[in-house]
Formats: sequence, C-alpha cells, structure tokens
Amino acid sequence: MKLFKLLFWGAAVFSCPAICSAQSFWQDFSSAIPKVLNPGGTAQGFPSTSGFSPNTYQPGMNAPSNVAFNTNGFGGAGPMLAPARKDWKLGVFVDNREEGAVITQVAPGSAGQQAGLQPNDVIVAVGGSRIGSFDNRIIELAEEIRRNADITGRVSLLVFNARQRTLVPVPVSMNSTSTSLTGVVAIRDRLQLPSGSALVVQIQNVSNPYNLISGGKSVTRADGFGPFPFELNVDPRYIDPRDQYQLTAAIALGNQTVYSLLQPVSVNANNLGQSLNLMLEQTQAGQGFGIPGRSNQSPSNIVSAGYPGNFIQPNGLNNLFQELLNRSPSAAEAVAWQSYLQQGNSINDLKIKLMSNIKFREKFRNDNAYVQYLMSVLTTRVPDQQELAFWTSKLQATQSPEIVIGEILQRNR
Amino acid sequence: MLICRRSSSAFALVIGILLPTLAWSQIPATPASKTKSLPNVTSAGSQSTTLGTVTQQELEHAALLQLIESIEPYYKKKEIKGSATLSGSTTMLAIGKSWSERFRKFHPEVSFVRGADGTDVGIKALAADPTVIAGASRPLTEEDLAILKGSKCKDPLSIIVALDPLALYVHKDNPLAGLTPEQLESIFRATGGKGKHAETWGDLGVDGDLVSKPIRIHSRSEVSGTTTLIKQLILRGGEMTKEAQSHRSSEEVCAAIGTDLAGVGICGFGEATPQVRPVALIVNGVIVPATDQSFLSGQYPFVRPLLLVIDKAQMAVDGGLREAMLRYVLSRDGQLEAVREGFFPLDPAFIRKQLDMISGPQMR
Repeated sequence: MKLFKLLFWGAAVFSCPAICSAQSFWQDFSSAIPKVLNPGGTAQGFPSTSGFSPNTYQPGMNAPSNVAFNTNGFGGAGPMLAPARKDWKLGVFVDNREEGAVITQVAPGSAGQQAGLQPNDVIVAVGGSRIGSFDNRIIELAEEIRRNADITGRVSLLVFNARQRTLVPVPVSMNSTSTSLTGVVAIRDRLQLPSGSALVVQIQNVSNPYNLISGGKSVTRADGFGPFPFELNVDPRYIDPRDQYQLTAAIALGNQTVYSLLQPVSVNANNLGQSLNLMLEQTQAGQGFGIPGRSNQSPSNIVSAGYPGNFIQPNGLNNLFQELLNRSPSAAEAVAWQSYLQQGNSINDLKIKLMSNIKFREKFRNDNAYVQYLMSVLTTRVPDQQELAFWTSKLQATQSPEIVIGEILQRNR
Repeated sequence: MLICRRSSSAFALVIGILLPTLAWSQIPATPASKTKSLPNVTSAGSQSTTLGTVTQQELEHAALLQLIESIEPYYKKKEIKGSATLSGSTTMLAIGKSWSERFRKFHPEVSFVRGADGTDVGIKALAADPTVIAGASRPLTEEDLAILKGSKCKDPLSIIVALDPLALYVHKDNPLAGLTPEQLESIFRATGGKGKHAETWGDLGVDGDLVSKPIRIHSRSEVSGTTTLIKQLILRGGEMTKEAQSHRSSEEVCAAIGTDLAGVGICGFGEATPQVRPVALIVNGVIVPATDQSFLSGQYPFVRPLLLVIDKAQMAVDGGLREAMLRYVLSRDGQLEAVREGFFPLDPAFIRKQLDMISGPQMR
C-alpha cells in the first residue's frame, strides 16, 4: 500500500506539478468540515470520561441530573457544563500526518523533552485516542491533551520512537501556562439547590467588553447545599495590564438566574492568580424556585437572564426570525445569535442586525420601500417625501443599512 | 469526498487522473430512476425527532456550542494600523464587511477599502496589486495559481475561512425530491456536448403540471465563483448551458426561483427562503438530504470553501495586519460571524492547522 502510494504520488507529481498543488488543496479541504454529529444524528466526538465531571453531557442520557437539557419545569435548557481547563503544554511542534503527530521540534526544558521525545518521533495516541490526519479529518494533539490530561497535568502518550523503531507508552507530566483563579461560592440563604443548577463564573474585560478571555469562564454543577468550588484557568495572552477586569458569578437554573453576585469583583493583571470567597444573593427570579414544578417565568417569550450577557428564549428568537425572515433559525444560527447577545448586545441590537441583513432587505421591491419600512419600525410616524428621499440616497451612498438605521435612531431620539 | 475516506488504491488513482474534479462526482451513476418513492424531504431547518429527553434540535445546538467553544477567541498581539483593499467574491461581500467592522473593534486604526466584485476579478486584482486581500467562493484552480505565480503577487497563500454547503433549489411546489450526480449534470450541461441535456422537468422524472415545462435555470454571471464551481464540480470541466438567466447575487437567484415554478438554481443553505426547497442528493443509492444535520455529520458532499487569498510576502511589511486579520477571521468571534451570515464554521483542528501556516508553527 505504501509503495503504491509512493508510485501514485510520484506519478502525479511528474505529470502535472501545477495541478498537484490544486489537488492537494482540494483533498485537504474535506478535513475542514466539522463533523459533530454521527450519521444517525447523535452527537459525535464526545470524549472519554477521564478528567470530566460525571455530569458532562452525553448523548441519549436520560438522567434528570443532565444539566444541559433539564426540561423538568424550570424553563428550558440551561448553560452547558464546561469547566475551564488548564492549558497544558507538552512543548513540541508537530506535523499532523496519517500515522500521527510527527514531532518536528522539541522545546528545551519542556515536559516533552523531559519525557525523552525527539524530532521524528510520532505521537500516535493520547490517552488511548488516536491522533493525526486521517479519514478526512484531523484529530489534533492539543485537543486530545486537553481532554485526557488529569488535574495534575499527567497524560499517557503512545509514541513511535524513531530511533528504536518501536511503539512505546510514554507518560508525561506537563506544565500549564494558564493563570489559575480559584475560589469558593456560597449562597446567602441555606437552601438546597435542586439538580440542574449550574454555577457560572466568568472574568470579563471591563475596559474592552469585546475582548473574550480564553479560559475565563467556567460552568459547573451546583446542586446541593454548597459551598461550591470554582476554578478559572485564564490564558495570560488575553490579559492586558492596561485593562480593568471584573469577575461575575451566578447560579442558573434552566435559563433563569436564581442567585448572583451583587457586586462584581474587580480584578486586574496583577492580582489575577488569587483565591476568592464569593457570597451570592438570591435574585427576584430565584425567589420560590425551590418548589419543583412552579414556574417563575414571565409571560413574555423573551426572557433576559441576569447572568453575564443577555439571553433570548428559543421561542423568542424563532418568533423574531419568522417575523423578519419568514423562517426558523438553524441550530448554528441559534448558537451564534445567543453568543451575540452574551457579548452584551441587546435584543434590539439583534433586531437591527437582522433588519440590516441583505436577505431581509431584498424582500422589498426597492430601496424606497425598505427605507419606508425601517422608518415605520424605528420611528412612530410616517416619513414625508423629503425624509424618504434623504435616507434612501444615504443608503445608496453608504450601502450600509446599519449606518442608516443608527442615524435614524439618533435623529429621532 | 465521501468516497475518499475509504479510497481503495485504484480509486485513488482515478481521482488523481481526472482533475480538477470533486470526488463525489466520480461516484458511479445509479440508473436513472423516478424519484417518486423518496420519503418526504424536510425543508431547510432542523428536524425534530426525540431521543429520550433530548430533541434533535437541542442535540445539534449542544454539539455546535461545544464546537464553537473549542475555537479560541481572538487576542491582540499588538496595536495595528494600516489599510487594505478587500476585493472579490460577491458571496462573501456581507461577511467581509462584518469581519472588517468587528476587526476594527480590536484595531480601530485599521481601515478597509472595498474593491471590485467577483471571484475571478478578485484574483486578477491580487495579481495586479499584491496588497489586495481577495475573497474567493471556490477553491483555486490551476489557472488561478498560474495567474498568481506569474504576477506581482509573489507568494500566494489561500486560507479557508468558512464553509458554504450548496444545494439545488426548486420552487417549493416542485415535487422533485432527489437527484443523482448524472441528473444534476444533465441540467447544467450545454446541449451538443456528450451526454444528455435535461430539457423539461419530465426528463428528470417529475410528474404532474411540470412534466412538459422546460427547466429554467437561474444562475450567476461568468465571473462568479459560484459559476466556476458549477463548471468544476458538476460539469467536470464541461461547458455550461448558455440558456440560463443571469443574476447579480445568489440571493437574487434564490428569490427568482421562488417566483418561478419551473425554475432551478444553485444556492447556499443559508440563502434559502421559504419560497424554495432544496433537492436531496442520491449518492450511491443513498439519499442525502440537504440539511444542516447531514452537513454536520460529514455526509453531505456538495460543499464549497470560502477563501481569503493574500500575498504572503506582504505579511513582512504590513505591520501585522494580515496575520491579525486572518487570525481574527479564524477566531471564535470570526467564525460566529460567519454563522450569523448563513455560512458554517470550520473544524477547530483544521483551524489550528491553518493558524500554523499564518502565524508560524505553534507549540503544543
């Protein structure tokens, strides 16, 4: 098989070098497709249980303690469990090939060097999971390390030793490059939190709210009496000494925030690696939650949860899409728009974005009709001919509905 | 692509010789058959079956969420100033604008200028001016590479930035449920060439009112990446029929089909309107519906990459602009923005591989 492959590629190279570069690009591209579902429709690639809390979502799990899909009366799916994992570094540079991750370089003083890894060695598997580039997908070393390393940063590799030409198991003890922010959360009253409760702790950039922080958010189980420990593992590359940060914490049940930190804790680059004790107070939504079956939801479809960022009920997003685009959002769009709200944008911002969308705009016969609609929605009056002409020409000049909408809103404040 | 997964050596040889073509069009033709017995094809959007306490929709949502969260957010390496011209793909116009605006939130001193439209035009623009950032809605062909290599653009680098699964769309009242690759080809093939050209809907096995109505193709212009893609993927390099109504954008193509019962055209999943329906593909006798689900399980073969093409040599003199921009586009926010515009994100491991190409090898 190997000889044939050599002949095949050799022949291809000699016959058409220019085409070869296009062809290798083409073949590479199939591994770009994310394969997150199995052909049967179940979720794929959910990792082994080592290093995971027992309540990590697994497809088909019916147990009511499944936090991610707790639909037993507390208002729909809550946040997905996602502890902030440490950034373990092996200290190698690799080339992903079919046989595995071929080491090209080993950083001096790194865990990889200490374990005896050398260039040309091939890491074939991590914690029992095969890695490399095969079957039209890439299984990445860094991801498998993250999944399989235990809490002290130890993991077992299966390595093809290039000098001895044998497969050997290689245990490694890795170092983490992340900054740990740990602590404990307690709730003011001594109520027992029902299963399905999740603790969401997050560090946010106050100076530039736009800047997400890798390793800065953790969502863990929080049922029972507490106190509940938490750990953030922040990637220091995302921390700017000039910026101010804050830490927020909340307990969520379904998509309601039932407890939260009244005052976010201020942190900055200097005091990041510390341990904090946080006391959470019950929110209005949380009052009376302890009785199963009792719903605290407001009658409106669009609910904004109190924890960091905004949230829209799946119904609410669906209604918005139906109203503006005459269709339901795809699963991917639902995820993407929730994240847009989580970044601090309001539901109104979302509406504006959808209205600015080119597909929405093309529903109208012409720019005039579109501008007329915008004005009727954004202001409470009918525009006169002059206004209409003004905004239409502005739209045509800027080709940016967002700019036009922004200015209409500003003028009509 | 599906076939490549378990390609026998002989098959691999076939792929190597018949270039430039996409693997799925090499699938041996199933006998042309009436498609009456196909199950109901759901329209674009999630199906809703229940798996225990979890619905299909929630499952997809969870799987996608986990995918997104394993893509790293963008971080600023340094302050950047400067300007660049974005030119090319019309399909990428909206997303290009969104990316520029959001990138500027991190780097307010960067500005972008919009260049000429059309994938082919964008590639030529880059060849003439190496400071251009070209958007392409199809993979680069040998002709593209030849144009670039012989030009001012010294070191072309193309990065896949999002994915756009495509489908053949028909009017929602058109009962056509599925097509084989051969049938797909017969729609777009020019008359007089080898093989049949499907003239009427009856030729494709459709019954009822449409049986004798001529198939009316709605398509994009010659310089469009979408058109070139059809020629490459579906026609295997053959000539496309001239009898097609040309439109400025894929959204317009979709809108036109929505008002034309006999209409047909190729659009991305994200461009569908309720007036149109995607047609399933019949691959080796297996019906693959044109849904998010079949795409996310790697079964749907008709996918195109969206690319940004730059001159790598510019990265040494642009103060880090291109490196940062590409890193941003491949970041969690950039990929989410692509989703908001109707495209699909990339596999995180593939993103890492591309980041190695952009920023140099990264330590694991």
